[in-house]
Amino acid sequence: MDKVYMTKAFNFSAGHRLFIEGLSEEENMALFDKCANLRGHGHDYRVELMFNGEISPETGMIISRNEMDESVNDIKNDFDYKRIDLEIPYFKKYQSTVENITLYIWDKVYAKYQDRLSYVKVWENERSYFEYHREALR
Amino acid sequence: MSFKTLITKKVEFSASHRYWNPDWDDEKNKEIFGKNTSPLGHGHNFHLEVTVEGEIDGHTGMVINLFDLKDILNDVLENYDHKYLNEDLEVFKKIIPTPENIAKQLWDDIETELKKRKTDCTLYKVRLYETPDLYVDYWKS
Repeated sequence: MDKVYMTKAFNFSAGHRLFIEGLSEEENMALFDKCANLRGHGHDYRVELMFNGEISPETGMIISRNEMDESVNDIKNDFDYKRIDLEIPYFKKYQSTVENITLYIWDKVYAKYQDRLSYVKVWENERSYFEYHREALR
Repeated sequence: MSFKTLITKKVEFSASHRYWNPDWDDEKNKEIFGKNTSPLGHGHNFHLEVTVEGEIDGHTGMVINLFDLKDILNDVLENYDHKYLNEDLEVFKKIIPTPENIAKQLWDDIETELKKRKTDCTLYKVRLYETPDLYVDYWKS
């Protein structure tokens, strides 16, 4: 049996601010530039979740579309139209950078699918993204 | 350290399909496949990216002549374009034309053509977009 990969992509829009508590505004600005703007700023994020599996002879699918949609909705419930660093507890501890957002999403989806999850990619805008995967992919 | 030279061609085709397992009743098909099982089928503008691997020819500077690759893909896709996959293609009378199975079948069809035409390159990957938000990668290892 050959491995097949399926990727589901979706968007969410959210606000955030990068800063380290205890540092002055100037120090935060020096570290994070305009991402440290006191009042926050936002992005249209795009997420890609790649799953792997064998094609089931019964369904012709490697993954149930219903389950995949549930995972998408789960992530959207967390992030969509939220202020990430203030409204999601995890990001009170970790910077709400695209790197940490990607790892947060990886952990959440990995908990459900384990090694059937191959890859998570998060675009912060159309010109920058971060990706996380454990196996070499083509 | 090994190096690979890969080249990718993008093409499009439009087709309709339906997810339906004849061993199940209506209710079970609906439960598993949702709207994908709607009785008369539904369609997509599929986007296909085909990647081949080979050596760069010293004379032509090419891995494969892209016009040759385009010809191969046009020939293969003639069977798929503007078809109802479930009924117009024999293979999908036996397996459900999900994007997973379509990608796998496209791999086989393209590989057969590549070999038939004695190109010096091998198929590396096919990526089939059912929509911009859902795609399948397939390769044989």
